Amino acid sequence: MEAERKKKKRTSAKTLQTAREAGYFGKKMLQNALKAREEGRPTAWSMVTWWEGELIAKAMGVELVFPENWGAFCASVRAAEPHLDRSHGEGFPSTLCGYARNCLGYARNMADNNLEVPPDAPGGGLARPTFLLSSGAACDARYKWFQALGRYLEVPVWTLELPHTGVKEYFLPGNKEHNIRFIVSELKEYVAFLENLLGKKLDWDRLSEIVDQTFKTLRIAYEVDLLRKAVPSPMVAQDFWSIMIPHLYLPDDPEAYEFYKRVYDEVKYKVDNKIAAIPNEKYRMMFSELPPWHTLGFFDEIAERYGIALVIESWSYHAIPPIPEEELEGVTDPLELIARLTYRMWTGYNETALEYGVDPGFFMSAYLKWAKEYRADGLFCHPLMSCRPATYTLLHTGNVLMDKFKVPSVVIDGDIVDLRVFNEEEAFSKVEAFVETMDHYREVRKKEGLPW
Amino acid sequence: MFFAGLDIGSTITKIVIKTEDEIWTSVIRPTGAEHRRLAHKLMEEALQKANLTFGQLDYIIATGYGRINVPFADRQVTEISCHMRGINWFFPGVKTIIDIGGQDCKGIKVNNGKLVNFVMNDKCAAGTGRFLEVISEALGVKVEEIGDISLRSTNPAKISSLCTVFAEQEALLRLSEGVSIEDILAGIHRGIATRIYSMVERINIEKEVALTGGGVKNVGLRKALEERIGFPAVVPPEPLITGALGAALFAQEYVGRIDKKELETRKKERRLEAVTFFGEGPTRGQNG
Amino acid sequence: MTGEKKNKGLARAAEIYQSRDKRARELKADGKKVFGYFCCYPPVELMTALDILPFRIMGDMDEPITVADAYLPTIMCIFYRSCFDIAKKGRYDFFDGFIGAHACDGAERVSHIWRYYIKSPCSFFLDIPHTSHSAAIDFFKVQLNYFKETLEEFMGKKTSPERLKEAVSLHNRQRALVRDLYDLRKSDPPLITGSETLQVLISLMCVPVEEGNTILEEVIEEVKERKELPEKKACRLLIWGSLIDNTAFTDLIESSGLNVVIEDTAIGTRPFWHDVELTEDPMDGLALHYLKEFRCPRTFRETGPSYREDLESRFGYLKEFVKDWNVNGAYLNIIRNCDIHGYEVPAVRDYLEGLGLPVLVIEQDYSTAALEPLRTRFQAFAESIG
Repeated sequence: MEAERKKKKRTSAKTLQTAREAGYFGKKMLQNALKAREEGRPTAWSMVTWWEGELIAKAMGVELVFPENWGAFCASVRAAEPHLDRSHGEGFPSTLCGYARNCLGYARNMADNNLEVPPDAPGGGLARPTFLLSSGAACDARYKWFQALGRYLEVPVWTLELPHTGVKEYFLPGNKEHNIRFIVSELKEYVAFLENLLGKKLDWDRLSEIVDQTFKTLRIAYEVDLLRKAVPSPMVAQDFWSIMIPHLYLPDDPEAYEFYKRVYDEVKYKVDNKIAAIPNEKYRMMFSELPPWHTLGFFDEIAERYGIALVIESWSYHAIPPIPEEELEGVTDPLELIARLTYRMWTGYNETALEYGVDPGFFMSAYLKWAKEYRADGLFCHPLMSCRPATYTLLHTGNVLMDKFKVPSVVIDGDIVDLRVFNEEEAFSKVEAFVETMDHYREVRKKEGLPW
Repeated sequence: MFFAGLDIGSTITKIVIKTEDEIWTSVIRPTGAEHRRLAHKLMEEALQKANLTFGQLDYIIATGYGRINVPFADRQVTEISCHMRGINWFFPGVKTIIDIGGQDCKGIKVNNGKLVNFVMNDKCAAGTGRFLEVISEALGVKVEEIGDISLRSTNPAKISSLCTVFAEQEALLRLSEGVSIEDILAGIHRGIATRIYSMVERINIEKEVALTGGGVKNVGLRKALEERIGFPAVVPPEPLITGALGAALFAQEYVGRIDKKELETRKKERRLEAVTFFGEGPTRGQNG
Repeated sequence: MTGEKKNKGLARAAEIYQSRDKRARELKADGKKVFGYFCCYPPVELMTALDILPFRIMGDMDEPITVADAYLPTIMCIFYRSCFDIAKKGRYDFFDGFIGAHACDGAERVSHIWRYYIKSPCSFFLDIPHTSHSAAIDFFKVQLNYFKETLEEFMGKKTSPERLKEAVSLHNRQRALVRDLYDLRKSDPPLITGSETLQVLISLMCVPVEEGNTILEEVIEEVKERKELPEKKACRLLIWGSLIDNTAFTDLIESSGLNVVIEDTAIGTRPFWHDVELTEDPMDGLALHYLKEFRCPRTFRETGPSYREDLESRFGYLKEFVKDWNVNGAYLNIIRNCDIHGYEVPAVRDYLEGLGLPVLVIEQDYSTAALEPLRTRFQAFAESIG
């Protein structure tokens, strides 16, 4: 019986109606790219570049697919394994990023199939790309992996630059503007690369429209995040991991914007009427960073068993806190707007980092701000065997949350594609013990006069 | 002339004594942790069986993971080269060798009797004899029988984990779900075969393929590997001794390179004494 | 301490290699400022110009990682975990400054974490772009200027272009001497072993550039005249990949039938292979050198129109090494979890095999306790060549 129940619980039951509909966007991306390929229009494989490169490619009429997102999809339908084995056979170390190995194995299969999509490819497969859009932001894998694809695909790779200053250095006089100017000049080069490759000029008006729509979509996505501060929590991470797809990948799509308006309305309604995402919310936890895609039902289970709501999560996939208005005054160049947008993503929590005297501003400092604002009882750390960038700062984040706010963290190992790593039974016992830890630190916070 | 090859593996020690043309005698004995130092006793046993004295051996080569400090060996050669040579003697046309040993698993490429490339499993017991022992123990069947049992499967189970610890749990979970032992074992063999295949594919599997080492005695694993490779492989008559045989063949080759006088001096200096081991510490201490 | 014989040349290098912080601590006691830095990207010239001793931060393969477990997850680069571990244990408590760098993810994240837990009077995090586009070189120059200003503020003095040029010349002199030393490995057998070379190179990274240059001059003299040569072996090995900073590793390789003749690693040819161009504004030469000339896979090189051309542009320089050092085998050294080298493995293997070289790939755990089991692989590799 136990085993049967477990089988059923693998995919999560989303608490928002809109979240249940979000799968549409993932499918739409994959299908659009396959269709474009069929019709001879340009396609690209792109990293998540936090809108730095995607918007311009779209304005050039390129259909994008995201191998990282597809990797998560392959894992969730348990179809990644053969790709991982293939990548291993090619000589890529098995310690590399799981998404990367999934994609490298798939590319090898494509190479065996005349560079066309193999018939049995999960989700219809990734369409053959015209070029690859990689990024130096956040993670070395995200340019090394596309460079390594040269072994199979022989298409050009463009690597986007995103400066990575330290917190103290960010505040050095003039540095921020130097960073922005650098991004803008690199984006100009990128436009030239695309124009040259595709043999046509960029339609700047179209780009401005796309940028405008993106700002709007991200604004409303951010407002949804703000609603989530409510107690009890109107939605949980299980919902977020579905609804993040449209704002992360398709913020320029009016359909995504319309979708997000509905998300907003649904969440707002729940807040106004104090409808909790999970009944008996007892503990409010933050989650970092990527979830075990193949075992999301686990989080429903801990909600049911212990009243744990994951109230905010995964810094790297959220819409940015809006750029201060004075910064945007008089800025009309769409390239500069993009530069400021993406740079904001990366540095938006530097003020928080400075306030608490910590580094880095990205990946960890958001959790310091959130702990207070979302009244968090604990942090769920999910170190990933094969995603180092999402894992590097986890223990550090946990240490700092304890230092500054007496918010404890629990560490449960897992992975984004390799389902062998996540041990559900062990995870349940850890969470069970952690519930008591959270109780304890609630008392400690009260004694120390912290507001939650 | 007589040439001896001594292969001190992690779980089994093997000795082959050969003449110029044929295998004269061979001995195979388990070598648990406490017995590993006693390779010289095993050599005495082999000599007795062959009806030879120690002084009659013209050249001795030690191989295997215990090869480093064998005082009575003239020379040491790695088991990778020795397996290659041993298989080459049986099957000169073989280009790819897959050796499934007690603690590790190797892929070896051969060209015209020469070692050209190799690959070894890395810090992972999956695909080794040790892994099969753990699984058979967990399922309560004898390790010698699991191959035959798996052949009776009609619907191999899906085992996602090949980490020794998790696979054990997963196998038990399947059992509790009512999956038959045959199907679980067939699933496990299939999983191991895939793992070994993708490792050896790194050096490009080319026909003809030979399977050797203790793991090949498991018919279930052999069948699963052949299915994964896509064509039948050859297996030597006694897969355990290819390393020792290769060592004896190297001994024969080296004798040809040194003059008689030097050979006689060497023979006088040899002592049939106990073997000492490197690294008996934590990195190698998992011999159970 | 009177009558103590002062060591020279190889003996001096070995002495510094053994106690890497000894000289730095002595100098510090005399009032010199010592800055620890990550990787090969923070320009040592800037520190030298301001009378700071640049001290390369390394890990310790002999020291089990224990303390770092509470700060850094096990799945990250073991080398940087080790650096942090020994630092947290107080090994680097003499630093007046810490220079972190966005070299690779491992260096970058550990830099940030380091600054929170291990305090130095001064610190700087150097951002390094991922491409060598011209805008990236300009941007990097701006970052180098911030770095320079931070050092100047801490030292309470300014450097001048002239002083900076002197420092560049001193370090260029060191680079030229290292290349001369590598020339002594072209013969068969090489006049100097891989382990000896490693001791010399590491010693250079722990003492002032002038002292390092003296050691190099002495070593070159000594090696040229040595009577007892290293043993001639069947394989002349090129090492490519993650760095090696412990002679236990090179000893293992060289006792397995292989002579190490050249290392394309971060404690090998990479920091020394090109001179910094003496430009009118010395900062231009530094930006160009470190971002463009310096060869590490952490910097993205433009892909060519085909895989072959791409390989040529990324690894073409290895062809010269192979030819000039008469290399007949290559070892790709990957410290486990080193992404920037890990992704390159199939490509660099394709390239080297295309040059007719047999290639051995090992992912290792950066621990001397885990070295011995690798012996079989090195020996078998030697047997396949011999």
